Amino acid sequence: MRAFHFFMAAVLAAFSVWLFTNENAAAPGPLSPAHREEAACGDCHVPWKGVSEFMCLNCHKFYEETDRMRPSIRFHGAERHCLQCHTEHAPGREISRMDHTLLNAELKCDRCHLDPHDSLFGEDCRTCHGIETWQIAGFRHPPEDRGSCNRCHRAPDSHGHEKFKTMIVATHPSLEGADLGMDLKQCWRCHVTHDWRHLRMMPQR
Amino acid sequence: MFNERRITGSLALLFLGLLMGFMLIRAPDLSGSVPGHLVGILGTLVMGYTLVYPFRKRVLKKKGKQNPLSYHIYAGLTGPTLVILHSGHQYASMNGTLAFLAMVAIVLSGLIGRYLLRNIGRSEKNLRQDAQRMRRELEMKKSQVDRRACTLVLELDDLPELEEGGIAPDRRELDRCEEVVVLARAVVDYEYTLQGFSKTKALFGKWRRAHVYLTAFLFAMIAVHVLSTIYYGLRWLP
Repeated sequence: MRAFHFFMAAVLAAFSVWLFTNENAAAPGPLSPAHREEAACGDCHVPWKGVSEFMCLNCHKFYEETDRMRPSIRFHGAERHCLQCHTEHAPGREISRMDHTLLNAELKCDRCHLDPHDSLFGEDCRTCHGIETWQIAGFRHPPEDRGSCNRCHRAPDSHGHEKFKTMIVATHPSLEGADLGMDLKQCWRCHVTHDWRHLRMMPQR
Repeated sequence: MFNERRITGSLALLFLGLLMGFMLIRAPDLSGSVPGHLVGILGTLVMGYTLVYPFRKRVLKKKGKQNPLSYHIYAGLTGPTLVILHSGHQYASMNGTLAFLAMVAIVLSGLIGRYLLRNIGRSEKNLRQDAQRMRRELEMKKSQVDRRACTLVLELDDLPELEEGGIAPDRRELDRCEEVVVLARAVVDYEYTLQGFSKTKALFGKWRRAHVYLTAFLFAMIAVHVLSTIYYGLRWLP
């Protein structure tokens, strides 16, 4: 019996060593597609120390001057905290998790973001928006009955197409033959402020 | 109010509930985070405490009230419950998953063993006592009856003919013999059942061995999992 126990202990020890030395056995999830093909564990992990920014920068070129970077990554600024935003082995998730609080304070928002307000609120996004959340604290939308939506919002191009009118008639047969020469500044006729997608004139299902 | 059965039942329900929780919720980032690691470390330490019981039993030879099994059971349920929380139901790495499966197998085997073995042990004890009492009674009654009459009780078909011929034993003697025979059959039944219990007990001896082997496997897997985690780097360390 004692010999059997020694044998089992030896088998268990051998299996444990094999498991420890098998890199795939320790992976806490699949690598992101960008790393899957090329990277080996040792490219990012330093034994007993882990992953460091230094290892990332061994492969990824980083320029001090943002203008030398390709536009889509210029927001990186001079920061080198790769691991704060980039996480590997996270199944079902992008390798990048955007954290605006880590960005270069001097960076302009419009280098990455398009202005959906078409400059109606000026050029400096940060006068209204913070970097921790895009929501504007304390902002309350004016009620739609004020009829002044067009001061900030503009009708999309699709509203000018003939198909838009056809669709309205299709969903509201009573308007068949009526003059639909509507003023596209009267957003409030169809839209409500609590949810832009909610349309007053949607047919009852 | 807080008896062992109730505490164990509550802890077992919590463990099984959380184990089934993977159907509802997953937290992939939890296991690698600081709180996740702390919960995992705590769970492992609590599971480590379960080794105190076999150590005291086998090495220090302390049994019964000196070495209560209840603490082993509480730790054996609390530690794995914490480890389930630590896992966040994210079963991605092979060594982590192996450790997890071994842990679940041990807890389930522990629960099954605890209740079946205890109930079988209790029933066997009662049966053995009854069987011994009945055997003593049987031996005593056997010595008081006419063995020839008892042979007749077993072959009652011949009795009318013997009575007709006037050579049948006394009726009261026959009744006493019948009692002995009934008692003997009951003793045989008890002993047969006890034999079955002994076989089941032997089976549980094997179960206990499996519980011990699984424990060895679990702690080996925990060691590999912890070493791998440190080797490849703790994400939350600077």
